Parts: sequence; C-alpha cells; structure tokens
Amino acid sequence: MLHILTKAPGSDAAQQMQQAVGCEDAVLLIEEGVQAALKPHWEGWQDYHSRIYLLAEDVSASGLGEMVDAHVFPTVDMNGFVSLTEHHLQTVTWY
Amino acid sequence: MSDVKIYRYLDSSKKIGLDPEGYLVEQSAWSKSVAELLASDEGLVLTDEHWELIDVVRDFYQRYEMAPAMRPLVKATKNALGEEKGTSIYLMTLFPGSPPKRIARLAGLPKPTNCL
Amino acid sequence: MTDSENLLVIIRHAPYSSNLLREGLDAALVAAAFGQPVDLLFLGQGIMALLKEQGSGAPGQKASLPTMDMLEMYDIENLWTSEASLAAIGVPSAALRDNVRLLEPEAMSAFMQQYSHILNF
Repeated sequence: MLHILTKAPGSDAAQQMQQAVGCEDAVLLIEEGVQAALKPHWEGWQDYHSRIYLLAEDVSASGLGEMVDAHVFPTVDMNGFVSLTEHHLQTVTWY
Repeated sequence: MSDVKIYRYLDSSKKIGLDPEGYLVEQSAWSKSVAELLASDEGLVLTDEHWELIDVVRDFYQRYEMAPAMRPLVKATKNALGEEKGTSIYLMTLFPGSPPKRIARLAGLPKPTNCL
Repeated sequence: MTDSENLLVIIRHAPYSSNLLREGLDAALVAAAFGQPVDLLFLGQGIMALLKEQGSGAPGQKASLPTMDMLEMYDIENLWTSEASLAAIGVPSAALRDNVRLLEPEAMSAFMQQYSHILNF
C-alpha cells in the first residue's frame, strides 16, 4: 500500500496515517507534507526509512531544497510518483 | 426542499404540485387520498398489500430521514411483514419496475437518494 | 488482497465541520446498495459520529444520527475505530454506539490490507 500525506507532520492527517502504515507500505510526502524536511527528528523518517519519499516538485515549490539536500532526504519526481503508484495495489491519500 | 419547482398539478382543484419526476413538491400535502390519486395517475389501484408496503416505507423515512433503496427496503419489509413478503420478487410484483422509487412517490416522500 | 471485492470507507471528519462525513456515508450506502461488502473505519474527529447521544443537526443540516442508525439496514454492520484515535480525542468507549469495534495499534495495518478498495474521507 502507498500512503500519500498532503499535510504537515504533527497534523491529524499525519497522525492518522502513522497509525495505518504497515511494514511493507511506502509513504510519499506531497504538498504540505514536504514540511517534514524541516523536522529531521520526525519519527516518520526513522519508522519508514528507505520507503519514504518527498515529491521533488513540491520541495522546490516550498523552497525546501537546501534542507532536503542537507539531510539527504530521498525525493521522487513526477515519474517516480507514477511508478510508486504502479508498484502498489492500493493508494490511500491522507489529507 | 422547498425550492423545487412545481412541474404539474396532480389534481388542479386541490393544487397538489408534482416535480418533473412525479414526486410531491410539498411532503405535507400527502394524505391517503392523495396516495390514491398518485396511484391512479400511474394506473395502479391500491390494495391492502400495497398499503402495508407504503407504511413500511413511511416508517423507514420517519426513523432514518431517507427513503430506502431496494436492499434496505427488502430488509425493512422482512422485519415488518415477515420472511414471505420480504423479498424483491414480492415487491416487484406489487410495484413493477423500481419498487423503492414507486413506493416513495406514493408515500409522498422524496426520491430515494441511493437508488440509481 | 482477499478473493472477494470489499470496501473500507475511512471517515476522519466530524459531523458538522464539513460535508465529508455525509459524503463518506453516502459512498458507503451506494456501494452497499449494490451489494458490495462495506466496513467503516472512524478516525480522529470522525469518531464524533459514533457518539450515541448526538443531537440533531445544525440549522439547515441533516442530523447524522438517523443515517448512522440506518447503516445496518444496508447491511453495514462493522463500524471500527482505533484505540489510539479514541485516546487522542478523549472519548470514553462507553460513550460510543454499541456495535463499534476497537482496533489495537498493532492491528491497524493488517486490518487495512484486507480490503480491495479504500476510500478516505
């Protein structure tokens, strides 16, 4: 399952998503979700290590590119977004 | 909804307004004799068997504020009138076509919303 | 994945804050009217719809309680919530309707995996 988070870490949507993410699920942070780049200690980075991504377009739109580079957070572009959705049977968006 | 436009009158002398699909514009205009008029408007003569189903739907609406689609209508009929009558075949026999829509119309209720 | 098609509708918004509760319930009712097995999961503010002592709606709005009561007529019998969400908003489980079932934190993800379709409201 792919979980897409459109709200900032700490939001209701983020907390609800965190209840639901399974150990084989991937997480994609888009829109306000990319604010996770401002919180390197957010538990999501640890919990979903190697299966959590930021959407590159939204990172640059939010001006968070430097933060992402500094912490080497993984990003995907639009093509990566599409292939993530193709690799998972289910996509659930938390907004 | 009170902003529904009257499309035609069921009975011009009593000014009972119907919407384009034949449902009462004012639910409060409903009475047993209005139900008889609505039925004859569609060429149906109401028997006791028809009436008890109209009552089932009116009770359902009273309780849940929505007219039932087919499945819950069958279930409500089963609960109220027993296994024998709580079948879609029985409902189709009395109200051929779409029982949920036809009964809701005769019961003076809005069209069932989950009934496509 | 399971062999049969089933639907989980997740409801995360309170009765009168938006139309999302209404829309979620409508989606569940439409699917159920077509005979699809449907379960509901209430998280966060959505839990407010599970309180058994709800009053009638704000002016101009339909109350959600009659619709919640109606779910069983559509054979929607399983209403779920999570212990974590319940604790987060501080609602005691005694205040909930009788047929609500609680998910423990470790059961959540496996629970979600068993559905072929998930709609999130």
